[in-house]
Amino acid sequence: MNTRRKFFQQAGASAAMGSALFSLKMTAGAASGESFTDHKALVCLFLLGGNDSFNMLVPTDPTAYGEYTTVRGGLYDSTSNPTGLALNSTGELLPISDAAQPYSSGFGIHHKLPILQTLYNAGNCAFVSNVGTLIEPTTLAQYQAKSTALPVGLFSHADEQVHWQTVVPQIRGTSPKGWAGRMADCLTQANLNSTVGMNISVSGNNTMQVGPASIPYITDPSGVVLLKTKYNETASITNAVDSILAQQYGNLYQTKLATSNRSAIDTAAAFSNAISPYDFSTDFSTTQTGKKLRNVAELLAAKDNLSMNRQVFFVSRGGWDHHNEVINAQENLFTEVNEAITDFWNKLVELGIQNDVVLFTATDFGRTLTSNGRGSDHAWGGNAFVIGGDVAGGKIYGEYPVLASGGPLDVGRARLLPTTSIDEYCAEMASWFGVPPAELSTVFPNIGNFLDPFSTPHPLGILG
Amino acid sequence: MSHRSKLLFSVLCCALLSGFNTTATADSSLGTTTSNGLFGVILPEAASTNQLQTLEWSTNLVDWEPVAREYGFDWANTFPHALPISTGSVNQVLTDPTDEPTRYYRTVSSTTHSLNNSNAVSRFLQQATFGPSFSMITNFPGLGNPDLNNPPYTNYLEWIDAQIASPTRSHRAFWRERSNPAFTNNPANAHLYEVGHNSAIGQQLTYYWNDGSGSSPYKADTNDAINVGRKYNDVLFDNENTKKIVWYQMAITADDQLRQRMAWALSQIMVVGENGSNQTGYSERWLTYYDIFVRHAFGNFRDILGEVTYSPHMGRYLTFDSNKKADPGAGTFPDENYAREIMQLFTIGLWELNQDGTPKLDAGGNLIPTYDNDNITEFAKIFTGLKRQAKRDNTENADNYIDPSAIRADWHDLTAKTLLDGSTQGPFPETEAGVRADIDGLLDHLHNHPNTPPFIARNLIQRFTVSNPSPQYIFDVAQAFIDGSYAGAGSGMRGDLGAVIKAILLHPEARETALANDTAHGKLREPLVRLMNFARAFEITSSQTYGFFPFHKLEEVFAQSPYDYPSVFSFYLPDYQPIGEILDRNLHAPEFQIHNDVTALSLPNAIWWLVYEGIEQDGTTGIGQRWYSQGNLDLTVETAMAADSVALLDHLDLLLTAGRLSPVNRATIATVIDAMPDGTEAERKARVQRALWLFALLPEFNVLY
Repeated sequence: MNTRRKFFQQAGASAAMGSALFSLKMTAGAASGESFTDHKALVCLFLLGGNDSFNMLVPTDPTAYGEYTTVRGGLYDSTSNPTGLALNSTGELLPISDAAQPYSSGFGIHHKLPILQTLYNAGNCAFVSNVGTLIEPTTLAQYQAKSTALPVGLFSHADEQVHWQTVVPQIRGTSPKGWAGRMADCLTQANLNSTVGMNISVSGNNTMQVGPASIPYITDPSGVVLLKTKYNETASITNAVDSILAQQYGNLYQTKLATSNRSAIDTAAAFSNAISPYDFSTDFSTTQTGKKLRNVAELLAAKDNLSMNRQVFFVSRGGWDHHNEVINAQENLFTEVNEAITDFWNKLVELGIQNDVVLFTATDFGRTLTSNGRGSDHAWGGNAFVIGGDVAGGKIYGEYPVLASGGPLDVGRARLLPTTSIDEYCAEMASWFGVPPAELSTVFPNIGNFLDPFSTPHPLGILG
Repeated sequence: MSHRSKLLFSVLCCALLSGFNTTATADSSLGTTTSNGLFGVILPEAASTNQLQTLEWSTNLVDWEPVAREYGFDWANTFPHALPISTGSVNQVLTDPTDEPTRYYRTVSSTTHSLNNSNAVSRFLQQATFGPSFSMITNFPGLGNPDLNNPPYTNYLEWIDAQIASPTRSHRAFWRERSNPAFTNNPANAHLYEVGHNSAIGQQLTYYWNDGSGSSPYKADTNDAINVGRKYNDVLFDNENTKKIVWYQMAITADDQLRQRMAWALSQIMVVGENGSNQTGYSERWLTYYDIFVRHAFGNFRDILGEVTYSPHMGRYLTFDSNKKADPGAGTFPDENYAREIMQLFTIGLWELNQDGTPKLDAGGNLIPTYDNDNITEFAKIFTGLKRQAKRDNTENADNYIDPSAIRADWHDLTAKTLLDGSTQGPFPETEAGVRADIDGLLDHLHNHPNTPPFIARNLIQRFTVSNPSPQYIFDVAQAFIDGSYAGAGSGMRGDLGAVIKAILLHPEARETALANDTAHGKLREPLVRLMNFARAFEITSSQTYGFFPFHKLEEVFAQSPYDYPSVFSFYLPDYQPIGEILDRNLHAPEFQIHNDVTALSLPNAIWWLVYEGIEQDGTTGIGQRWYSQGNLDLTVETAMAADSVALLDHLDLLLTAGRLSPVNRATIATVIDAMPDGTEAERKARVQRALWLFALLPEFNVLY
């Protein structure tokens, strides 16, 4: 509770200062504890729409693979079995293994994601299986009896996208704010000399990076947007713009517009100077994801110019809601992601910072294992991956679920009840990033329902 | 519960705000009452005209929050509050049923605020059109009427009725007349505006050539353009852009502005977006779909729901085209996509609502879901057996995404279905009529659901007038939806959107200028509407491009452009809450979802570019497709008056800020302008351009209130 009060005090203090610079760092004076001497960055790759991730990571031991092909309606074949969703173990799955998984020791990664196989085998990539939104540990019987609290708006895009970002799925909407935003407010000892907040989005506004006292800086892969040069043409124009944006307005929307535009002008100027030495455009593919991860890499390289030692990036890519054409559409998107991650990893290695950066995926939900005739529908638990030099890779964390209709986790139409919560998944990242055990329950209010954050600050063991 | 003390607290507060002085009177008249053990505040009688009284409460005498207000009518709650207010014979009474142990109350009275008729009309046109023009204002009915702004707002109603009666400008017809010379008039499809090519106009727009089996792209006839002295490039736009050019043409030049604006609002509810559609390159299917909203803008909501559901274009987007009943042998189930979104986004939303838009609560005080996943799997069965019709000619593409979907009864799940209220329909015979009865039964069920009127009312109110409508506002608009009439006029059928738009635009909450003193009144205007405001106010013209205005990829500039909805959730969510006081007061501001560090500056930059350069390409920040201008503002009138900065700023205040330009900001802009030379016409034009760019940055321009 002390922590919570601290947030409000900080927020109040900055408001009293009359600061309009919301995306700039809120208070330099509120720092407590030792400042960080190392650099770490988290990159959230959010696959908007709900990645059909049981085709991203497939069990290949004979029994499990048989169950997989059955529940997915057989091997997909555009002419003989267009309603089937299963991938062929020969040619469409890149083999990896994890002997510790009870359901299957062999697995296949989707054939359009060879970079994950490479990084997995090199120990720099891990999967997390059947992760999803939960409020407390829930069994199938408890789900059916409705005897535990369940996330509101299950299987709905709008709700589940927000839940993955707030990690407070008992509340609908964005009011709990985002876990990376809470983390930024909590890590007051980070970025002490920086004028820029911890959270940077290359994909527009989001909830994950909004905290009680901070919002992300939004930038764009096409370059920092500055107010037209006429702003600086003469002092009289600069003064006029400054005056317009500095007025106190009697209307909340006017106030919000003026303060956010002021902040945008100032932060853009700081950013533009800091990243101008770095242009990696020739080193990355020019797809949506490629451009965004290129922009992230440039901002990582500019960390010293930005005086940042802790950075969180939000990268999203839409188009994963594959009710239709899941096989072909997912292949295209995986191809794009594979190229972008390959370029990104190579750049991290080139810069020598691959141990300082962790990239992890998020998505609305997993999808139904059963087919709707052309694709799959909204479901719940799914598979994610984590990449980084510090990752204890070559391993699948969480328990890979039984893939069967009527299986032990099937809540209907082969929607799978998650066995690892997003609290456990995200806390893994937060602990590595520097959130102390005492603050984990502030960043993840439900985490105490799953574990004791003091004894288990690394719930899965991926990063510590 | 410990004893409760609820106190009246009278203060004299004086907040100096830009533009308006808010002063409070010491409200010694504020009395209290106790009824059934509940504390009540006796609300003062109405203040003078154009004045706002607000009742605020506090628990600590420091943080005050408005809970009710009065502006010449009865007292009513302000969003998000829904406290009981009696209709007392002399004084109304607000009852406080909350358990808060200590509560202080005060009333705050604003100074009066009013607008002259021209400015009030301009403000109305900001709400109802893509932006006022000078002639629209001066031609407005009743401009000299001293009662123009008093209920029942007869002249505004007169204007709306004239708009409803004005000829419908079909987007599809406009495109067909100007594209493929082989297009012929199809009388059988007349209501869908399947008109023939107009040879007097010529071949101006790009299209796909439909030879009956496949299709290939055809460009506008560049020779036509060259022959009349234009450049080859002037008229050469790809198909993706063609449909948007039609949209810009309508937004900027169509006379049925209210219909076009209503269509735009409805299209943001029942979204088919380019992102994720795989149909970006085509035009006609998009135009035909958009025309559903144009044709029924003042028609009936149920008709829209029907046409959208049977539209193969929607069927493809939300993946229920050729959706089939479950096949146990193949292990397949019906696609659930449309069953979910038609409820969540198009009709009833997620939670049960009262008619005033406040959520219903169960005995435990919890929200009540409107449906669960069992309902979705059940309704997924209903949206089976729809399939697009066979290929045909006289359209852009042989694949028929134009005509309503056909029925495949053998693909439809004919079993009985349980509806949301527990009633059932079916089983149905394996006939076309049987399938239609099943689908139409569900559409009727959703149309008649008690949530639909307030859900749609709120969504439309947010597009036109305010982001946080009061419960009374939503209730009244929902009532017009339910009754199918406004002020005694209308079809009398539930879902009459002509009645709904009147109820939205003619509600005192939309009209009364005293509400300018309410800090939560109004909304951030849509970025696209702000840009269109400039194009219309300064009568943009193009000497090239057959008079089209080829804005290009605006979605990449400020995150909004026609047909470029990022997903079925449209550009922003109704409940979006930006951080700061808006969130702290639990208010909503949808348009702020696309206002961020990039777009905050991209929009004024786009307006800068339009003002100085026109519709022109400029690397990352241009708004056109060519490296020369294809559309320029006509600043002749403004340039002529630019030597007199007072006259210029009055004029711009009328066209862009509806008389709300604050004295401080007026002085700021005047200082800049007056320092500039005015000897030559070029110098006077430079004054206008600089003033326009500064107006683009004004909160008074960006926010409508």
